[in-house]
Amino acid sequence: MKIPFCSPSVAKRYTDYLTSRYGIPLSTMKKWSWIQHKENVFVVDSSWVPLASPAPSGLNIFSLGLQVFANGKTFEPTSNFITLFGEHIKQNIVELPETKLLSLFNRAHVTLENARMVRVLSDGWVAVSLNGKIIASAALKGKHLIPNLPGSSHGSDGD
Amino acid sequence: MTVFSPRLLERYRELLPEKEDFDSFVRVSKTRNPKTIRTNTLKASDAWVESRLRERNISFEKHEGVPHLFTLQNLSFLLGGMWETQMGFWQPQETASQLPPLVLDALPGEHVLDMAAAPGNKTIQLASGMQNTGVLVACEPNKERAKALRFVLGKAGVVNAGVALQDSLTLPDSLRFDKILLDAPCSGEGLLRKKPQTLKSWSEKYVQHKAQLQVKMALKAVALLKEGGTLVYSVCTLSPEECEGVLTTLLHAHPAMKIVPISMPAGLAGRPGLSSFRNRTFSSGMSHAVRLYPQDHNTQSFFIAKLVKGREK
Repeated sequence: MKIPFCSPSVAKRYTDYLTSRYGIPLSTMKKWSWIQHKENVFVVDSSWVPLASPAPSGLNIFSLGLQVFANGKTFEPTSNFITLFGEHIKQNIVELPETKLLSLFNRAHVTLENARMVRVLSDGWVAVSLNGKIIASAALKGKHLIPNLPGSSHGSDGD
Repeated sequence: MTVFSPRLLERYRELLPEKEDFDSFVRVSKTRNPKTIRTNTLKASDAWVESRLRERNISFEKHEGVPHLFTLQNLSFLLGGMWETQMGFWQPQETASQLPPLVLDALPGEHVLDMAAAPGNKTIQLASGMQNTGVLVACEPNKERAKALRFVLGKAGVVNAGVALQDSLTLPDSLRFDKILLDAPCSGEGLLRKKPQTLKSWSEKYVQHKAQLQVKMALKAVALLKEGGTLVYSVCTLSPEECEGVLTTLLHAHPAMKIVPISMPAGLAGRPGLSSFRNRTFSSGMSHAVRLYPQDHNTQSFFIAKLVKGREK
């Protein structure tokens, strides 16, 4: 099985975007390897590269690493990624009160009244925070926030 | 309502010969597990979790021995419906089920195998211990469960894991791991506080069937383990055939494997493994294994052992 690891130039396009859009330092991303499968873009710890390029016969890899972008062309980030790297995100943050955050989690578009903009440079993908902690990803369009949340839950009630 | 089969009760009378102990087992087994969550340390701190629980007016107690474990006391709504759960900042996870990754103690940069990974909470714990580095292979043979596992690992922000869609028995023998978690499929007696219907499928034949599978998986684990590597074997049952019985067969086949003492967290001492049951005598060293009975620490039933691979002769 061949894992579609990205070339260094493609990987640079993604790290450059994350640095320019969110201020995530390059140093936090240097231990990752990038994978692109169709429009989906993932990162995995680079320790996987010797094992997975190619993966040994008989190892049936179904998924690898964490999805960073749902669409590599539009740089649509996943909330899973944004919340993992929240502490490194320094710009394009919209701080919401909890009531608005709950509306966002109910997949409603929310207005920006009572929101606090933290170095918001332009419309587009932003990180959403509550009391300074990054909680989700959303798209900022004019005076509205559009949720960008994981799909339906397949989570368990604990094992 | 929990209704024990007479044959299962008979077994537990043998395992718990003191009447008071046996009665306590039955009484506690008919109650539900406490609601517990574990901080996902990849994304949040215990202090943040505490602040969220206070914000939501949920009373909680932090476990004295198990790191990042909170018992929730006045929960009036479903944990799964809370955004903190949905976004992976914490996981609902039963107390005893947090022990195997804790005992395995996977470290940054290691190569680790989770042989029966779904639903994935233990895998997340392993990734947390590894600080999201190294190689973590999570096996699940069922495609729908593998999809759910991928979803759960993504939600938790796990970067270092690969989900292998296969039975771990079919993994190539060329692979080698520093540490392996075999939280084996079992008869599930330990889940009866959570799913009383578990008992419907219980029979001694079912226990034997599971024990045979567990032996195969344990032997495969040894084949995939580096020399000097660590294997943690656990099951959510207390059937001796699936606990000490499996390990005895393993130790006979691989004398280089040794059961080593476990440093149990405060408040979860458990009881030592059995030296015999009915007409079967188990290998020496079983006293290092740990049995958790629900009446001891208000957990589900659980068996756990840690083994180290020495040099094969």
